[in-house]
Amino acid sequence: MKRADELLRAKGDSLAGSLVALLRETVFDNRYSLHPRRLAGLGAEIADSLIHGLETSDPTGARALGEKLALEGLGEKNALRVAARVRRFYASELGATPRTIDELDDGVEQWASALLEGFMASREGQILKDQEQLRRALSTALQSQSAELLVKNHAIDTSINGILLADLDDKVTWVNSSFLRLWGYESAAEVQGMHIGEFWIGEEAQRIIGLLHSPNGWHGELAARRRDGTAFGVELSASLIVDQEGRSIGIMTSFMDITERKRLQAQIMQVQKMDALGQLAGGIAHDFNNLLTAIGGYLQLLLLDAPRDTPMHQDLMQMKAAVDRGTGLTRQLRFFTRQATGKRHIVSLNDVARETYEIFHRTFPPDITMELRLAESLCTIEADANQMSQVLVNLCMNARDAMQEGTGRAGGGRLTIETTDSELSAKDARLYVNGRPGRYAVLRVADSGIGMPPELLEKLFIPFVTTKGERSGTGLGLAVVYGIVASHGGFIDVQSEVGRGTTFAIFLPLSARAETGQDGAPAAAPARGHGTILVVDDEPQVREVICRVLTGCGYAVIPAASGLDALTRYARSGEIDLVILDVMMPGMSGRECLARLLEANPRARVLITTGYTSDGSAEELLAEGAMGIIEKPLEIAVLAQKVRDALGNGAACPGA
Amino acid sequence: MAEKGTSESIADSSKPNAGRIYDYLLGGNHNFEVDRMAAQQLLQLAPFTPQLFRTIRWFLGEAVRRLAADGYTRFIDFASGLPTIDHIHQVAPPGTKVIYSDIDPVTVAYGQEIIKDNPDARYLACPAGKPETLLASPVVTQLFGENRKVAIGFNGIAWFLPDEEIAHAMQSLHAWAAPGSRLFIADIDNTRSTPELKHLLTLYGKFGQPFHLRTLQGLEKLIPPWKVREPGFKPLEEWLEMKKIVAEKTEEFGGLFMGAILEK
Repeated sequence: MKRADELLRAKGDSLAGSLVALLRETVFDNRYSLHPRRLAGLGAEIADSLIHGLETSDPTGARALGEKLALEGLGEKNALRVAARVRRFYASELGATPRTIDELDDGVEQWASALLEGFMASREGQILKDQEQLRRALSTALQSQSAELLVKNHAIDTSINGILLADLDDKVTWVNSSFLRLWGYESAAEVQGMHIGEFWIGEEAQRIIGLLHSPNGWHGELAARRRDGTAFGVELSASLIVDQEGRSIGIMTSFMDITERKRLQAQIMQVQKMDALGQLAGGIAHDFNNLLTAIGGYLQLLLLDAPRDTPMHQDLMQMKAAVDRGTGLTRQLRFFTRQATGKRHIVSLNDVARETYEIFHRTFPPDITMELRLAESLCTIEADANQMSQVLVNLCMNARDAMQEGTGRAGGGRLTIETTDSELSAKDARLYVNGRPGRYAVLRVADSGIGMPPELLEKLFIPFVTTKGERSGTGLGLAVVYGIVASHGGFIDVQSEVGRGTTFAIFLPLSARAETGQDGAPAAAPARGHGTILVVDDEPQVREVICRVLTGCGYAVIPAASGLDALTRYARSGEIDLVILDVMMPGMSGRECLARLLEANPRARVLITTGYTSDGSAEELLAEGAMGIIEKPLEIAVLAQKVRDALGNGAACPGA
Repeated sequence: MAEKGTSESIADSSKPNAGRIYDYLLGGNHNFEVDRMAAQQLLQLAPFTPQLFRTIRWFLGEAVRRLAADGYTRFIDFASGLPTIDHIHQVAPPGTKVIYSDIDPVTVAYGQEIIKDNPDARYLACPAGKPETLLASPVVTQLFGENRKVAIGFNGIAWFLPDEEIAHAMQSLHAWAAPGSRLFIADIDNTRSTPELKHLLTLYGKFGQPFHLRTLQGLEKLIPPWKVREPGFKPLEEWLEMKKIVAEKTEEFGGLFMGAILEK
């Protein structure tokens, strides 16, 4: 035993050198912490451990060395190589010593085993620790992704858009809540497995289903079919679902209900069309009004001179009647174009409805049952009571006609006039093109008549469109309703179905004002007066009529054909008591002329003549210093009265 | 490595991950079978890869050891990979504060988990070419305070970046760091690239990872205003004093990777 130990000790350096060579050879199997500089010392340390282990037969040191080598960064392969190198060294250098071989053999094996045991125990600890770290990292990542997935799922399931997933055979695999709501199903289980074609209508749908599988997907509009068979429009966006290898595994489709959007688009187009028509009709009404003003004015002058009870006087009266009818038509057109606002007062819509009901209740055919439903606490609106009456009259007349014989159905039916209060939220208001959030008084006129097809609804409010033929309507009834309601800041909703009747709902903003009652005394009697009046109007005939009327009433008159002309004459004369000024003139406008006149003489008295009173310009001119407004077409008596009032003198004008 | 979509599952252990493959090739245990299989495929094509990676990591260790000895206690590291196997916080003395970073969200997620019990280490997501992302993070001030005298690792990443990104990174880091800061960098000197390495790089290229190989002179033009400290750029094995030891094992790439420590 001793001899063998001694021999081993004698060869210890050789063993250490061999181990260092081994570790150098396999340096890349170690970690950086086991730096090459450390290798030389490590070889001797291992050799010393072996000798010490053989001397003491105690494996503790070998095991501790093994643990230390693992911690320092010796790789697994190198640990095995070290043990093998020690065994080989023993076999080659000492194995030929017969008396000690067995004992030594056992000792070396014991030492190598202890070294490897220590090493592996330490490495196992490290590996377990590292793997635990990795497991925790994976778990944390999974939890994080799970939470993210939960949020995404919630977003998808609560999306306002309907979402449907299908497999490559176009069979439904999943739908969200909005899909169920849009299509009218109770649960996802009902639709799972159904073919997606069952949710759409028409041959076009079958063609589009094929397109959904294209790599670029598909986006467009489609007619959909609810569970109860009713149809609705959807905007569809579809795309292929691909897996991580890029293989198609299904289809994702997202739907948006476009029923409301379509309805609003149609309404917007209708409003735009009506506005364009309004502008066109407004232009015609303006020119026609000026013509009627001139014709009517001359007629009234001729009537002053024509002896009563003569044929000429009678002819002139016929002509005047025709002019009055023309004026009436123009006035209606102006209602449509919102050029006529009338006088606004606090009006109870219930009163208007009740009065109209009383009239028609007695006069409508007995086979029409009329019903009046009034809101108990309907607030007032700010409106022209006469115009409101006209709205209701026009609607009732239309309702009656829709229920009369000759319309292809049995006569009679039910006509309901109803008033309600309504408060529109922002969401409610979006249902109507002109709707705004707020409180409204709503006037509904519902009939059980023949109803209207969609194509007629589209052009319902267009002037001169009528279904009543030559015998009755002018085609202005609903156009007037439209214009009046619009000029009152309201809007109209029409629901109609062929054979099931029509309901007009007129929404009018509730008034914030509390006062009631009406003002506006009837016009004072025509009157004479004296003073010098500057008459400004670009239309020669209108200007001439005004001049002749005022001359006849005793005034000195100075005509002016433009704003610039008026300023020149006003400055030159220096004795002008009153200016009658047209608003709409080419070149210098009436407004600018008014400003210049007041600039020259802040006490200048100016009356405005205009055919437009609804756009607010007349009120603005009053605020800017005008004394009053004279509406065209002119009534001689009104003109004379307003002039006399403005000048504050004179007496009644004869013959006016 | 190329940036991956953040939507990709970071918890997917069924797919190999570059950070875990790197860990495996360095001899670490933070990897799955799928990573080891991918690594074996790589080894078949380029058997010297572990030695190459270990040399780069050992240079990092050597630079950290030297800088720590010089008194640097704050380290920022770019393109860190997993913070395992002789990374900065394992080599530097206890108490050294380290901010690791990587562009790969999977690696960042694992890295954060691995160091979460270490109060002196943090892991942030940041592309090496845009260090301002990291520098702007409040984590930097939280860990370092206002002290910006730091040592910065830019190890084994330059060859993945185009010139303009390296120049931008160098200038941004120089502008941010306090005088006296250091930056250690290792990159390929393409004038000495071997056919074997070119083969490896071609292989990487096929995986969609473009390389930007440049000469040492080309790299030196990009690093100002940092200045190269003595002894300048040297092959990594010389830094490690392993020239003789590893010569035979690294003949495919020996002397190809150059490293230097820069200063502000």
